[in-house]
Amino acid sequence: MKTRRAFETGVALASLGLGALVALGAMRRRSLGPAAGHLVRDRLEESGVSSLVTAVLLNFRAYDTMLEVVVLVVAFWGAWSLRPMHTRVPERETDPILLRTVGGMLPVLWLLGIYLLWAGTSRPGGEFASGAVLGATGVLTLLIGERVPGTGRRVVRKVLVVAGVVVFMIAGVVGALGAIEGHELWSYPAEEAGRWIVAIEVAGAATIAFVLIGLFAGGRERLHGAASVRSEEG
Amino acid sequence: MIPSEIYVVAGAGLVSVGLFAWVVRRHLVRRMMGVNVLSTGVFMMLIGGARRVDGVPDAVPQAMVLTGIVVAVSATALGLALIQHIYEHRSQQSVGERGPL
Repeated sequence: MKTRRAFETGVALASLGLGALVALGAMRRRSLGPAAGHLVRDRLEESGVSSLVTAVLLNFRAYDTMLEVVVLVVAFWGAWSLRPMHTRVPERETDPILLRTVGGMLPVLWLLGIYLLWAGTSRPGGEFASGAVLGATGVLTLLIGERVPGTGRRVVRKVLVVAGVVVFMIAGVVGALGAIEGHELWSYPAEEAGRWIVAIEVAGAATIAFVLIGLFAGGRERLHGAASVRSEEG
Repeated sequence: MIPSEIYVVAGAGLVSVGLFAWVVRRHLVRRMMGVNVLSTGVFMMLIGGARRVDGVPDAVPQAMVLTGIVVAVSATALGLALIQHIYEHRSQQSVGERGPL
């Protein structure tokens, strides 16, 4: 027990020390410079969008973004490839008040998610914000025991999971083909960048939203909502 | 107007707390929460500590944090799914604290 206490004290001191060190470093403001933000602002014209964050995510650092979507998809596959749980989720009747209030909110949330996607090219928003809102909408749908539209079909699920990555890859291949005609390799031409970014954002938001819903459900058998489980049993 | 240093210091505090919980706690869910608190601290520091470019926040750390949050959520979800399975594998006895490691 004594060694345990000593271990905990040591770790506490080490983490406090690390936190203080990191805070001091960040306060000095040398660690986060030189600000790449200047470069982004100077070359915003070439990115095809007018939002700084979207320009970074989907043009200047697009490889990062693609691989982040890949991380999401891999996590999804990881969670779904585990064998189904034996432990039953406790069944509970959905409260009628919850059903009405949340059910009434769902269309508004869908609209909000789509608005964020549309706003992404010029204002704060974009595929990650939109995907997160749409994913949360889907989670709420599952929580009140309803199905998320479309996800019952295997084909739809497969398409949704890969859409965000595939559209990115198509953009990359088209860019590579364009390089034969004299464009820069591995980039979208400036005049087409806006269109590619919108296409990637739409597909990416769909993938992010579905992956988040799927991760929450944790497997196919829980994606269909409590209602279908009950009807299959009954 | 709150100076951005407050966010940096609070973020560093979260990093400390999260790191401590991650290393010291035995319960797997608590460890997962520790990692989450730690990553939240890092995000806060990146946002709070970012330089301003001509009065507008720097877009690069914001973009990094935005994607980082989504990746952290997915990693947490996978971790929790694995913890559920560990719980079943140990005949629903424990996921840490008292049971065998």
